[in-house]
Amino acid sequence: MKKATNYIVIIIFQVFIFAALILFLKAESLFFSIGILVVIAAALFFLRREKRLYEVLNTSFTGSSRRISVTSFIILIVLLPFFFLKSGYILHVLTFALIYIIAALGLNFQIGSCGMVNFAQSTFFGIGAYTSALLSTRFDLSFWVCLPLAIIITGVLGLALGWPSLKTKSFYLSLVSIAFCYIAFLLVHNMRWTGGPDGVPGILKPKIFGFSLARAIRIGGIVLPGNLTYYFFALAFVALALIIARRFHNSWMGLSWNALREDEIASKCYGINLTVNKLLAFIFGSIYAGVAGVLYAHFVGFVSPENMTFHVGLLMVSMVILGGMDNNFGVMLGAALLVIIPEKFRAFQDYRLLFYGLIMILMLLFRPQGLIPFKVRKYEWKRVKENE
Amino acid sequence: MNNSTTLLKASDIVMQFGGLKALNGVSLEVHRDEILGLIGPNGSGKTTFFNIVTGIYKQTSGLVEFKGESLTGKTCQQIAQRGVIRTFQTSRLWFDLSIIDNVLLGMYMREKPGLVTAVFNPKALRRDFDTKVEEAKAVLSIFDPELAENCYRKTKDLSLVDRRRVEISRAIVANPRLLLLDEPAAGMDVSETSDLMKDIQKLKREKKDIGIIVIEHDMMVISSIAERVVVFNFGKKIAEGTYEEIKSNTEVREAYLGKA
Amino acid sequence: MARHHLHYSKKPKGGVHLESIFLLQLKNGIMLGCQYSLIAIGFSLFFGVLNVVVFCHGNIASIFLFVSSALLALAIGIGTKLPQLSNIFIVIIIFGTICITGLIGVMIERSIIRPFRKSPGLMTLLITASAGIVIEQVLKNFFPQGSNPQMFPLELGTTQYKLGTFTIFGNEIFIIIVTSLLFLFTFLFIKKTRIGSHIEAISQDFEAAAMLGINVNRGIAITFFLGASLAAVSGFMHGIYYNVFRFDMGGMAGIKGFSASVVGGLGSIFGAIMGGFLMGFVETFAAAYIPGASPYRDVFSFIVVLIFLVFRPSGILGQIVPEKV
Repeated sequence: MKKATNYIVIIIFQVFIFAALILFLKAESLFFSIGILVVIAAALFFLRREKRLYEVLNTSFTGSSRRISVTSFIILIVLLPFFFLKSGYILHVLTFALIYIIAALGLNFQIGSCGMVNFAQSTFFGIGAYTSALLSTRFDLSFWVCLPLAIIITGVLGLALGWPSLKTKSFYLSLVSIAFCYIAFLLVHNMRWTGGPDGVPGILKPKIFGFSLARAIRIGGIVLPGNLTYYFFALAFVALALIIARRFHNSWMGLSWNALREDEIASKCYGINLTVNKLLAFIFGSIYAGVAGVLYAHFVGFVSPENMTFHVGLLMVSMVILGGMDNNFGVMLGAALLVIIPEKFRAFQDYRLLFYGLIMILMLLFRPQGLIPFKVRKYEWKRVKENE
Repeated sequence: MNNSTTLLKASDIVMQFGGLKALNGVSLEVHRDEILGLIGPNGSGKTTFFNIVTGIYKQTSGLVEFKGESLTGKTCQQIAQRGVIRTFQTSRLWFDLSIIDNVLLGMYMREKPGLVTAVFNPKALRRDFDTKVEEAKAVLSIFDPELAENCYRKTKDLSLVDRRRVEISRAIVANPRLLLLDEPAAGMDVSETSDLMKDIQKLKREKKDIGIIVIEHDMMVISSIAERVVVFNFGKKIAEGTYEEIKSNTEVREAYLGKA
Repeated sequence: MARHHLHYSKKPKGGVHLESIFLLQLKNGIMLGCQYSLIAIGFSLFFGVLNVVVFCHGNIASIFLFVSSALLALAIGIGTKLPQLSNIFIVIIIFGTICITGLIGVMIERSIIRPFRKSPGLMTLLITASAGIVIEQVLKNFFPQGSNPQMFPLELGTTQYKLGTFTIFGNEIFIIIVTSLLFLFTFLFIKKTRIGSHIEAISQDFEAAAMLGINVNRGIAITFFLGASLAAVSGFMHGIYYNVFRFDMGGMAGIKGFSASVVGGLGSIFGAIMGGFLMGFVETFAAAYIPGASPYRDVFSFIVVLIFLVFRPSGILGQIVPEKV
């Protein structure tokens, strides 16, 4: 009977979170929006005190209830956009969140797993976006050709940033990434063939099997409304990105990434090849950013150098830190929060960056491990299976 | 001594850091199935010697040979792969990782599923981890079954003694041919030290053919487990022999106690 | 940064005097170098004592500009009624604001840097980067018309002095003299005073200095006061030279100044000065002599930094400290 109670607890919690999210997004008045945030925070605060409940929820995706948790989560996230059929803007924001989640997951390889803080993730985001933008508008290449090309290009350029990182200590690496970010931004901003400060407009939405994502999709009797199509398109990529990221984390590579973060010398003395591991972190992280960039380009239809500034790079770093370094779910949460909440408080557009800076300072002072901190790896599959 | 039993041969090692000569022409040998004690006052170059053998420092001059092969110019990883494994004076564990992860990483150099397997066949990866986790827990249990029981604690939360035990477990599972222990008993009390010594002797019995160098300040350890002792002072080897022999060596006494 | 080179972009009449263009660019390079060096010294000082990069250091210069502008506008307003006092007011305001900025520097250290003394330098980098954004946004939002370019109300020495075809302005001479004096002052302060020697001791070995009875917190506070004040002066220079400033210039100035201190060697004051002028010259000469490079002037600076970070992170004058195993 205990199992059934666990399932119910998990499902209720997830529904609560989603309901709160929906109310938050639909809220018209500022007061109400903030009110909901306060309610969520209070609920979470009280939850932490209930040890048993907290335990059940903490292991909802990794313990014996994981199948139910994952299924209910998938159902909820698929249903979510249907609440906003009339509000294209909110769907827009949600899709943005999905896109940035992918970039953040990639950055997590470098920051979270390897301890290398990289401010240039926005550069690879921009490179992916621009690659797709230029190839599709100037050479009429489809999304499905641009995507692998962008992956190759960002992967190779990720090496270009990774290589100096081998020679520099962690701290200096961050500085290298800042310089890299500015150089790339300035070049893209000033060169004519990248469109200069005005960027590249006119990127079309992709087509899958002949169905264009720009319009509603009808298959048989089922209709997927036009403004939802990209949400699900991005969601598919997020799912793939997450699965791969998790498998990386659980692999020997993930372990060795953590080792090199904690102590390079000990790692060397136990046979871990620092060079290969660091370069892999850079290559994969950059590819994730590039994919996110491609998705962005085809979603918004327009890219500009403003997408790859140092500010955006800093924002991405904050997503990882706020959410929780080296924790995929944490990072996704951080990205979602930092995309959705500022958009919701659009009225305070001018104060957005100010709040964002203050939140970062508060987080770093009081909870540097992030909202959902790094979880120790468990090797309990046999025991979990026995309990099922 | 017969050459084929010589595991490590260091000849005339000089290590210069700017103006400081940490090692000034040191030569020594370690043989299979032998425990060598390396003692000397602080700053005499013992840890520097370890750092050179394991490839962390590159010696200014001199040759280090392991099983007849020169180690000059090899990376730490290459040296470790040949079976030269060490522990550190200040336990260098991966502190944010759990006990079990630390010991698992000791097995990094073994056959293991690669990235492609990890992504496309996670079940195979899990099977590999299952086997290795069992072995890791077994090794930890030799020192303290409690470590194996609660192996998901982060090593940064452990006591000094437990950290050393985890570090030695990690070194053991790395299948060393030559094991370099840097002050393994530091911070331990008498009963813990005696347990440690029993474990080192047990290790030596079970894994024949390995050579062990132990840096220690605790003479109880040296006298009970070291078959031969080498004494360093100011970067030079000043004495070599059994513990009894070097104990009565005047130069050694002066090194520790000062000239009378 | 605002491009105040309106009268410099015109080619001199009567043919090209290479020599005069060179001297002109040299002067421009020196001007930039002065501004960068003053900020770079701060970065070097902070890195020296605490091994941290204070990313919001450039924004501190902005604080000076905004606050002093507001006060000066007030003073000049009063000055129209009491002309004899206005000059005194102006001087008081300038020095006062420099001191206030210095104190703000000290406050920043106490509030967000001190908690991370034992943590890896990365935390300080992140938190000061965030603080930089906060400062920038506060200036933008809480000063009237903050998001628009501002005019610095003081005009100093616009008289021209001519030596042949070479022109130099009064404010440029002023900048060079004041900057040189400040370099001298900083040098003497660190090398010759007791507090300066404390600061050097702290830079060498924090714990040892504490054990010797040096009041480390006070030494650090003084270091931050000094560094922030120099940044304020750099802002002042910017104000009287370019006359225009924006809320977001501090960030870029900070990055340039920081790059300069890396190039010169983090921790070395002389290195910061050298780095500052090197960066100033690279930027000026690249823009002047490489055709079409003007919009890319910043790229050259960053490439220089990149090269140093990868191949010689200790900079020109810094020292490589090997890691103890």
